[in-house]
Amino acid sequence: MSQFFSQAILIAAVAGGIRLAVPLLLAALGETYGQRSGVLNLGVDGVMLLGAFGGYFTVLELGNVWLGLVVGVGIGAILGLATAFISVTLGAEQGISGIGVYLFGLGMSDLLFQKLVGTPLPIESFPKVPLPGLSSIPVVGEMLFQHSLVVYAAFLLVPISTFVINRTTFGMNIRAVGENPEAADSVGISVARVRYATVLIGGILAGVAGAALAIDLGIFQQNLTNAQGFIAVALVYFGAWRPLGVMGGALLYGMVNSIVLQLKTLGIIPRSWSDIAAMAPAVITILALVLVARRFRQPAALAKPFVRET
Amino acid sequence: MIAVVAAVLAYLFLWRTPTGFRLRAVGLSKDAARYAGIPVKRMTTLALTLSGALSGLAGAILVFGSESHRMVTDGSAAGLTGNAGFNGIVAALFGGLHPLWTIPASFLFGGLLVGGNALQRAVQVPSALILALNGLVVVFVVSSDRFRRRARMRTVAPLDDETPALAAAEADP
Repeated sequence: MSQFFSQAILIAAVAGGIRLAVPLLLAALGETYGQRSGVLNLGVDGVMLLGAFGGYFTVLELGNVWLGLVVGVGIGAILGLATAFISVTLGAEQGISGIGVYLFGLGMSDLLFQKLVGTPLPIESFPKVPLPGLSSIPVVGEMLFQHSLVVYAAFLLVPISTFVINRTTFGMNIRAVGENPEAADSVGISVARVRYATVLIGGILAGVAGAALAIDLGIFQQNLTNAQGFIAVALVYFGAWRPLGVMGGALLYGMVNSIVLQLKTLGIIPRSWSDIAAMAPAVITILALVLVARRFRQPAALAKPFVRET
Repeated sequence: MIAVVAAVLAYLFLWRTPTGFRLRAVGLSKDAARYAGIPVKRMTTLALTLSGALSGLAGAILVFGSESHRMVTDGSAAGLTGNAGFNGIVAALFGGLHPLWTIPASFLFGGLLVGGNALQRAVQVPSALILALNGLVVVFVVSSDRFRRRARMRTVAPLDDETPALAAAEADP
């Protein structure tokens, strides 16, 4: 056990935790926009999977990781629009339609992978960009400031999102639509347009999250996300619908995962416990949810389709 | 066999007992039910407990039905259950959320799954296609539900003092 507390292992654990948190963070931030405006999107995992395959395939064929991310954006945008159409225009039951999108994404990504690629071929990952100066700080520098641009960008999105939601007109519209769409509608805010925008943002971020996951892992396989998309949705609740809280949740999950990984590699967790250890992140998330759920209220109009009463 | 019996029992419980009626009322309109004095939280807990129990039963049947009476997994993510949980959601939707209709719906989906596997062996179409199709079915069924519900409400002529929730409850078969 004392092996774990050596400097090298601790650095690797924290750095790994940050890296593992990124796809979750991106997807959860996207979902936060949507949920804040009243739309529950459970199809996030499906979008992530399709974005992951798109990114993976692009890097495989074209060799450019950034193009892979762009493809992730595109796929996420298309699926985001589709989700918005189903949830906002058609007013379908949001929880269930989300599961439908998930099943579609799970099946389609696997189908495309089997048909277009076949055997898992490794691809290159994001290059690490050490921040000048900051990365030379002993210990902390290696933990925090030697990541890829994707990691930095993802965490930058947190204060940006906080600003957008709390201090812009668009953000105010989002919050109004999520709390009381009838009132927002009466003041002239287009509920549908706001929700389309937020769901689109959610889709794009989910697509990017998937692509980032695949490229970071350097591989693709069936169900690559392993239901992390659903964890991302749970993280929105955990973070009380605030970007900062969501970031905390993503880091918690990532750290637990990373620590468990390190403990397994060191042999501190024996093989026979491996499956139980795999439960740890999910269990901790559930516990955290239970603790947080009592104190924070959800957007009042969450998961209720809006129909203008005439 | 157990499954069919369970489906019939579910129907009898939901449509022919007072508790079942209260459960359905909560699902149709939480606020109206609360106004009528129905304990919403208790009903929700009851509903989730029952569905959890049935899911556990499904899992047990899965193991007892397998050749070796063991949990068989092929190592994939779907592994042990073969996505039966998610397919169950789809089958329930396809049956219009009515226990008796879930019987033919489940047979349909069971057939789809077996057919999908056979397709994979015969013409190399991956069973992942069936999964994707399942997803599309869910999306379409759920999307069209809104139109069907509106059409149904229009055919029930409301009396002067009937509330929309009451009309919906009476129209629900």
